Order: sequence, then C-alpha cells, then structure tokens
Amino acid sequence: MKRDEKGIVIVLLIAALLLPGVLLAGSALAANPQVNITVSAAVIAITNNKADWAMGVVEVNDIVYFSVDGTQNNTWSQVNNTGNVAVDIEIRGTDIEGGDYDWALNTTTGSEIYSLYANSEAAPTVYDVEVKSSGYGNLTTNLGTSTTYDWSMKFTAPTAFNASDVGTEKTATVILVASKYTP
Amino acid sequence: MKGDRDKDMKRILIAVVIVAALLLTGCSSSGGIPAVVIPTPISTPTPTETTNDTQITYVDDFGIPEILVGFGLSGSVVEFDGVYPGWSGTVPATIVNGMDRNRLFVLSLRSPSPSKLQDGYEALPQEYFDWITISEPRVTLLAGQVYQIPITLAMPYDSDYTNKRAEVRILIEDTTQSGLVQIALETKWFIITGK
Repeated sequence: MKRDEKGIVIVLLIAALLLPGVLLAGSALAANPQVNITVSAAVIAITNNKADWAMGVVEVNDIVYFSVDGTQNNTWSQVNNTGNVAVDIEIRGTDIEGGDYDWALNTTTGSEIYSLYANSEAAPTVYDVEVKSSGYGNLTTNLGTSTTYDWSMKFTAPTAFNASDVGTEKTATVILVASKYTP
Repeated sequence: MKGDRDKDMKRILIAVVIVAALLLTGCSSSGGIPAVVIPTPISTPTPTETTNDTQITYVDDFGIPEILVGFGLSGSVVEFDGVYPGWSGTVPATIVNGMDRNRLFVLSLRSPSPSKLQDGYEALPQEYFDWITISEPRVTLLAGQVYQIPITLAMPYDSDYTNKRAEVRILIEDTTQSGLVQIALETKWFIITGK
C-alpha cells in the first residue's frame, strides 16, 4: 500500500470513529420535544350571601325547603361571580353530624339517612341537582362575571331515627366549588 | 503487484464503509440512549418565556380584581402539552385572599366528576396523583395577601402513560369558614402526554 493510500485509510478510520460521537451528541440535543404550558391568569372568585341557616325541629319524613318559612323558594340564596372570568359551580354536601347517630347523605332517604337536592338553572323551581357527599352535583355552568345565580335546596328527613336523636342539635356543611368555565 | 494493492485498497475501503454504516445505524435516534433535559422550574408569571425545552405562556391576564370578601384564584386552568417520561415543570397557583380576614387554605387533588370532564379527556388515574407535588398544601394568608404556591408535575422516567389526555383538579379550601354553606375554588390541570 502506498503512503497516500495509507493516509486515506487512516483518515477514513478516524472519521468513522468520530462520527458516532458527533451523531450521539446531535441526537441528545434533539431527543426531547418541547413541552408547551399554557396558564390562564384569569381570576376565579365567588361569594354566597347565605352562610347559615337554622332548619328548626324536624320529624321523620319531613320535607323542608331552604327559605324563610320552610316553603319552596328558589331564591333562598344567591351566589355571585366576583372574579373576572365565567365559572362553573358544583355542589357537595356532608353527612349530618351531632348526637349519638349521624345521618348519612344519600340519594334516597332511609333510617338515619337524609337527602338533599338543589334547584338548577334550567328549572329553577325543580330540585333535581343531587347534593352528594361522595361526589359533586352541577349547580350551574358558565356563570358570567358580576352575575348572580339564585338557588335553594330541599331537605328530606330520614324515614326513622333513633330516639336519642330527639332534641339533639345536628349540623352539616354544603360546599360550593367554582372552577373556570372551559367550553 | 499493483493489481493486488488495488484489491487490498478496495477491501479496506469497503470494510471502513461497512463499519461506518453499522455505527451510523447503531446511533439512530430510535436506538440511542434517550437524553433527558429537566427544565428549570418556572414560578414567575411572565407573559411568555422559554426555559430549556419548555415554553410557558400566560393567557387571559385581566389583572387581579379587588376582592373584598372571600378569596380568588389565578392560574385557574393549566394545560401541559407534550409531557414525556422524565420531564418535570412547575407552575404556580396564585391565591388572592380577600380584604375581610386571614384564612388558612388547604390544597388537595381530586378527580373531576365524570359529567364535568373536558371533552376528549379522561380523569388522571389516582395512581398518578403522586406525579403532582404541592409545595405548600397548607398556607395561612393575611387579609389582602396575594400568594403563589408552586405546584410541580413530574412524569416518572419509566412511565408508559403516553399519548393520553388527562384532567385533574386542584381543590383550594378555606378551612376557616364556618356555617352551612362554604366556598371552595379549584384549578383545572389538563395533561397531554407525548406519543
């Protein structure tokens, strides 16, 4: 082999050895795609003008509407969108606690079991939004900024409860959860 | 003699070409060692910025309204597009406490209700909730205080949860409320994983 030929072979060998490293570096730079994060800086906020309500004495199977006198009134409470973007509002409840026996919140009533329903935007006098303790009901959607929504609830007492519950004060909580409306 | 040299030369060149071809094949992107670049956490709400291989864009910036009663939340929707195993990034949830009083906030994750899932998305499986770290799950804010809580999404290197569109909610509750009706806010996180 001539000297020139040996030189060409050596150059080719060196190139063959270096090339993988160059390609590896290139692939490392290009391996990961870009991640795009989009954040909505809009502010969600709501208020509700009724925090407390005393139901009074209830008997088994009583149906009580949340209102001044316990009769049906779909404008008992008013939620207001005080943020700068439209929101959805979901509703969740809890068991009623106090005394020796708690009353569980459920779809239908039973012994030591009560139910709670809210009225919906679509049918303001129909109480068809189930208030659950294990999930969320849809109270209203796409509530605009500076807009109010009237709502109320219907309580149905247990079909039976223990005698030790008589004269006992019990409490529950209803939580309104707002999130940005995303069509 | 010259003919033999030419043959030797050709053989050497062919061998070099074959070796180079094999090396090239071995270094293709499909067979190479995947490199992982972890982006620098981002916590400053700048309109648009790029950090490493992550771009964060803020939209719907209408400013912070005056909140006299209750509290507000900015960063109400966050979309992560193209998340891949080994990637992590941080986005703040900004709580705007009202002027009326101090509050203790508690942050937690929850699955959205099936009826409230965004079209085309599934609820992020609860087994992946540990991908999300809330730096301060309990925080007390003074009346009128605005506070950022960094929340990090980190997809494990060995995850096969790819080509998915998942939704998860971050619930922010004011535990200082009392009474029958209480208020909570939540941010929606949409996570789109790469193929």
